[in-house]
Amino acid sequence: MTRAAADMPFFWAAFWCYLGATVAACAYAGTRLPRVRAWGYGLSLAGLAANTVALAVRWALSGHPPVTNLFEYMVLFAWATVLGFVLLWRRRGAELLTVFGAPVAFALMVLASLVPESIETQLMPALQSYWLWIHVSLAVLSEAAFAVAFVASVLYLRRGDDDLDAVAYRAVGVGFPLFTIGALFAGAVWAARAWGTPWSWDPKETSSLVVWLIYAAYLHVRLTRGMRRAAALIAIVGFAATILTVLGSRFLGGLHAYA
Amino acid sequence: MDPSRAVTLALILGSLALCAWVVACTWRRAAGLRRARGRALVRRIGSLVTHASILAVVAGGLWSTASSFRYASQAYLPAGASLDVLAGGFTLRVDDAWTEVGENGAPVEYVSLVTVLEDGREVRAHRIEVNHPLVHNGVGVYQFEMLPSATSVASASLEIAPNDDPGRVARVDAPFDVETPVPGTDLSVKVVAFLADFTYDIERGTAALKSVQHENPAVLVRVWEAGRPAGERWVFAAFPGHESAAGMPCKLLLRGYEPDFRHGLTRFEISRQPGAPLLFAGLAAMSVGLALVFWVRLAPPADRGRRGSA
Repeated sequence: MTRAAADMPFFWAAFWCYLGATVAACAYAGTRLPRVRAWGYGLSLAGLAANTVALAVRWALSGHPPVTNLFEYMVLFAWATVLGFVLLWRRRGAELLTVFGAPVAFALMVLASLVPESIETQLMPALQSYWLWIHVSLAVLSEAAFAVAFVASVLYLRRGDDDLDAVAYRAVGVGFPLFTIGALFAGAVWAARAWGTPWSWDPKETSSLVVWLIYAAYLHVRLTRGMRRAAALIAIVGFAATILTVLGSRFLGGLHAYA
Repeated sequence: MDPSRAVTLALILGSLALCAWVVACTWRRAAGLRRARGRALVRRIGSLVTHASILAVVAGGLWSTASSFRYASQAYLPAGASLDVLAGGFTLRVDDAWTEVGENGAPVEYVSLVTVLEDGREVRAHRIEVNHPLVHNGVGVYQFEMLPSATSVASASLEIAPNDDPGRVARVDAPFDVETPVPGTDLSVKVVAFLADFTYDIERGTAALKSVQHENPAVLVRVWEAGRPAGERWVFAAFPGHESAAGMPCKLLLRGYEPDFRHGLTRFEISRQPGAPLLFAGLAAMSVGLALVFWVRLAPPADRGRRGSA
């Protein structure tokens, strides 16, 4: 059953906060004024708060975690990405990363705003499985970690700061195992239960494998070769592949077409 | 060469090349284990497990590719029908099949109650749903599709225009096989038959079911006038106005119908994936290995002891 979206005011509040933080990030890139950076960080935090409330309201309205359609996935993706940056700031004082992470969160919210935002209180039979929560939530957390690695890699290529390279590596170190467990392992187990085979070469499955191989290449280049700039480039390509994977089934169809 | 065979060959060759490379990496890592201590040892073990697990995943995948099968049964089975699952050496008898429908009319669950028969003997009963397959003798039976009944409806929405007053059109939602009075007239109607895909059998001279898909739905409506039988007509959803009113006290139109989800036609997918357990074991080992590598200690060797703001 579709319900009126009472979460949408909070969604739009988060949307505008992330837009403001994005403007602040651009302004900071040009001016280097600490006050502008602080504004960007503050707006990111405000956006995160609104984003959290939007997700909580949607969860309460639908009666299930908000991971059942592309809109919910993108909103959760944005939330996890900003949360990743904020946690990073608490551990490493990486306020700059949080500011420059806002454009990624804003882009995800823009994509979310382009797809239907209906709340489904009644899930289709295929989605009525606890594997949905395991598979999707771990996948989105891993992709948020890849977003952190993406931003850190872009900044590393511009600034050459080794700490940024370390942040990217740590983010992939969190995201890659999560992606393996959530997207591949949990996905394969669920597919075997629901579709009778753990692997179908569905467009989303195939592109997820490509994402996994790209980040495996990142780790080999970064760890065994020590080629940090090449690794940063691979992290950027990996995140582009991640976004294509998330959106791909929208255009390519396949077994994940409802996602 | 057939493109699909070329792709399969490329996949197999690529997998073998990957395996050779992984074996070399694993061998090299195994050799380094003796020198490692403490957390470095944990990381090396994790790395070793991760690389070795790739071999299990590839082996499971190739095994499945070589010896697995998966096909959807051709027939849509009503309650009482049977399906021979030759690969599993058993017969599946459908005891009941239905679609659970939610408040908005969308399906909530597809349910098939089945009994497994071996040599005509009942072995076990099972409730098959999406995400809840039956696995028997190593063969999985999955809920693949469910159609509403092809020969009955829950109700039909009819428009009735009496011949003596064609401008006065009454609308009736008539439950299946229940005589329903038409408001404002002395008529009553009853939907006595339904065909999801109507066709006419010329040889037998009767209406017949062309397929179980709802391609050309039609209801047979029996009409009473002042309590006396007045005739019956097939009324078509796709061809409104096609049916003749000759000999009938009214003209009938079928505006829609509520499908009969309670008496479903179920379709199964049959699958055997012998390599799946090895594939899952490989993925589980890979998950453990990666956790050991990255989550026991995340800092790369070059960054140990360094902290700072980015």
